[in-house]
Amino acid sequence: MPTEIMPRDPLIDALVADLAVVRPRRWTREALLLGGLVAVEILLFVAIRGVRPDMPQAMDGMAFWWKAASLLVFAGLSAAAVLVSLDPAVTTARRLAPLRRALALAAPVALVLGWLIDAGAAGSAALLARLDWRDGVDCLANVAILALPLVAMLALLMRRGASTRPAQTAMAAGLAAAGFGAFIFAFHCSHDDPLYVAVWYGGAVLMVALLSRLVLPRLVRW
Amino acid sequence: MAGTQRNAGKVAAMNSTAALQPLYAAAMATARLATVIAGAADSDPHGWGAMMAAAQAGEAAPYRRLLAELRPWLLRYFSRRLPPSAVEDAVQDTLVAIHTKRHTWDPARPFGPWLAGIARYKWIDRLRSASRHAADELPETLSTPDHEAAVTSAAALGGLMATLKPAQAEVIRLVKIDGLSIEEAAARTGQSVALVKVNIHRGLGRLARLVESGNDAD
Repeated sequence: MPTEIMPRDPLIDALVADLAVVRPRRWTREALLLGGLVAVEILLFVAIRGVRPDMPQAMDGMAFWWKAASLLVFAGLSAAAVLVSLDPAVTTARRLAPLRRALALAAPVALVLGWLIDAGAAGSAALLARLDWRDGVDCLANVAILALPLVAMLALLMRRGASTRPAQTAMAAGLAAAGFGAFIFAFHCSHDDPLYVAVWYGGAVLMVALLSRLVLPRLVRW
Repeated sequence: MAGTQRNAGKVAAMNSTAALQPLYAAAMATARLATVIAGAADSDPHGWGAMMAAAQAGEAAPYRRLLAELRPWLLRYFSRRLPPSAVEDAVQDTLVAIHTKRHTWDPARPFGPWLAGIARYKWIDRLRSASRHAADELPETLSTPDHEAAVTSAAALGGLMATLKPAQAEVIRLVKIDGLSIEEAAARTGQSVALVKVNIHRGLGRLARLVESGNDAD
């Protein structure tokens, strides 16, 4: 094979000198890591705060399942959006478009279902009593605390990956982390009132998502 | 790591039974041939995917060759899209990004879209940072007195600039491509110095958003 004469380029020399074996990233491995952290958080949270005392009754009703399933679907879709977006080849967002549409649909569908369940229930106490702000603040704090390790892990995955739309990936990371956090908290929280869930869970998820949107893009610049 | 495991597997397979060795060698040769044929097909026209796969496994020679071939490609890519003074920085940035993010390329996928994604990201990055430094003027040595050549070489950029407000496009062209000072551009266009800065900042920011939202020029 003839030796090719190539002009020396200091930058290319430096990059070649820095070459090490890398393992191509696999989204399946990253999804497993994330799922593992969610499982660990569920176990820890249940051990520390416990499941709601009326769990057996709650599992008979629709409201608990509506709450848990909506949050899980929502968090899962957001997490999938994050992992897909970490491939630089995903720029025109064609592969992301169905996920974004599904996400944009999931939230209103969850709220409408909640409203239907609510409307089916006869009569209601005063609004303030329903919102029960003491529990609500506890809910905000717990969802945020549960979301924190997940945001941290997603930030690490973002640093390792290469999103060409860091702002959108960061938003999705916040939604995923808070969604999983809220899902975990749902096992402890004894409020099934859709209004309560919409206000406090929704508020917590939005809060974490916005913080993540503000902070993460700065940390993952490349 | 996966490569190490694969190699360990190879070694184990070779050691286990000497009788299987010719069969194994034949299988490996077939696999290599299949890779070569696949590489010759349209999926990897320049062989860059094969080179990057080798680079991921730590092979320096194919990696050097890949980078040396990517450099002129990137140079062409950015000369069509950025003012001449920004091209070399963008090329180097992109080469570094390709290096640090090389594990994000999946060898099972085509190399082209991955490369294009990174180049495009760095293009947007350049437009953004240019809009943050709207008031910076080009160093004397980098400005191109030949206006026409500079503008037409940045063809894709020119196409995008057509979508800007004329006042924004005009001052971007004067200051960022032709290398006039802010004051000269102000005198030439009749805009105040402050307005020239604002128009450059807003115009470049808008270009970055346009590219990001997918209204790519080509």
